[in-house]
Amino acid sequence: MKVLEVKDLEVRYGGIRALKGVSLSLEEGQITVLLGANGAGKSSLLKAISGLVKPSAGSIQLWGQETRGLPAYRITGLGVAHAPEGRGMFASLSVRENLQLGGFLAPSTELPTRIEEALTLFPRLKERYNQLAGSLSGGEQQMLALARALVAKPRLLLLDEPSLGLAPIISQEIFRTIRQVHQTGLSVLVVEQNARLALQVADYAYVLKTGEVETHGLANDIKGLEQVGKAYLGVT
Amino acid sequence: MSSGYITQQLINGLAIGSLYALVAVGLSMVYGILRLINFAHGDLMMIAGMFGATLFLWLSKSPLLFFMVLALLAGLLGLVFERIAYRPLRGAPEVNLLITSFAVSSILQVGMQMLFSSSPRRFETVASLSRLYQIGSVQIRGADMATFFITLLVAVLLTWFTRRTRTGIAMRAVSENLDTSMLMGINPSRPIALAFFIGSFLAGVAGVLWGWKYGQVDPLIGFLPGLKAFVAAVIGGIGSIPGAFLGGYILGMAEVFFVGFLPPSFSGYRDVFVFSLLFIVLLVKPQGLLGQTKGRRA
Repeated sequence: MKVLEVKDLEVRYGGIRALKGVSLSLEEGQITVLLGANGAGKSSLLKAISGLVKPSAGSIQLWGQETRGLPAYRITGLGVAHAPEGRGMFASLSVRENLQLGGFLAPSTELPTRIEEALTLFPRLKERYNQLAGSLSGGEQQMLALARALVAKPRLLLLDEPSLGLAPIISQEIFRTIRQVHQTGLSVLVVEQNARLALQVADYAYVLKTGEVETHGLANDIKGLEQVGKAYLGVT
Repeated sequence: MSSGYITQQLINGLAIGSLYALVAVGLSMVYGILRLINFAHGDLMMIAGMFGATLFLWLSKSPLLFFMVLALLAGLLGLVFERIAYRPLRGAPEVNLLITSFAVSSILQVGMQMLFSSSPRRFETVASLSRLYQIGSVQIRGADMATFFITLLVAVLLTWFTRRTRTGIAMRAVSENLDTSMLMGINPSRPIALAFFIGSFLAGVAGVLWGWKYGQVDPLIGFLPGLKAFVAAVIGGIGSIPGAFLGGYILGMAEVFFVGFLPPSFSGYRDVFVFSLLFIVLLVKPQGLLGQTKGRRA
């Protein structure tokens, strides 16, 4: 069964169509990367999948169930964790509280183990455990966003620009971890500006352009495409 | 001016400040989570007072039961209005919520006038609360002491609730960022309804304590305390629960000291002074004393 099947999806903000009929599907246990310039509609697509924006047309199926129009908290309950653009920290809450919220739907007996597991992936967060999330550095906040999403034990992880504003070495660390958690069978859909980095870990790639799918294919094939090379990889 | 006099004024300030704090904390919680400035909040205090004046004989055997019934009444009424008046407006501009709260306020005031008449009603008390206790050189009324300790208990319980319980943490999360809180799996309707319930319940508590302090109630007593509690919440930093307590006590103290230390001819300007204090605090700290600068909500 497909993890995610999006068909002819349209999202409008007032009179502007951010997505103009996007179709996309995700295989179980794969990392899929969503490439595209600013304003291509990548974040809108993630938000539509997780229920934060209401699409005006089309369909979204998660594990075969139509979810278009469901509120975001119900979609989270199906096993989707979305680490939103700009990391979505609760800045006035501590690292501990942020992680606890990641497991809001988890049985409370399991929560401590899950948090412990997430902290072993990011030992740095352990040192900051009782600090306010707003006091963390950009890289630490991204780690927290990822850790918090993992505490939910999702079946599908949606990541919006995990490398945004981070030093290259930290970005690499983040992507290494994404790869690591993916080995547990987790499906991942990641939006990324840093195409080179993302294509290294991805199985499959979609390229969005002004609200439409421009092309898609295996990550290796996409890497070789001339227009992708020019536009996103800095190849001349 | 003796130190006994100053201590006495301090105690009076604590008593009235506690009342403001109890009303302010509900206002602040609801504002924090919904960005609603609830002008009907003081009227829930009045409702508890009005029904308290009516039900006293029926409940006089147990002050605790009396208390709980009235606070629950206010709490449930708050829930009802959240459901029928505010929830349908979720996502609408904040000013629509504000205007709606004026309507709710009028409904409550006029409703009580029709049900009970607009003349003041005597609010019965129990002997232990109306007694004056002599401690050293100061005198404390039982009702004031009860008010202070109840407020202290509320502060401790609320701090525990918002810091230590899953629901309380979820409530703070919804206050900070609605969208992200939904991504955590939180259905925001629940913390919002709970904030209304807790806030209205505490307004009910304040209503009973108000009745015991002043001995009479009428359908319009909610307005001024509601407004002052709002000032207290803004001084403390609206949206912040510790801020609401701090603001309540600052306001109570300021009011008492203004009246207690200036010549009697000034005492008529008490409310002018209170509202001027708001201007001064906001000039120096626009977000209030413990408030956070917020710009994160879409």
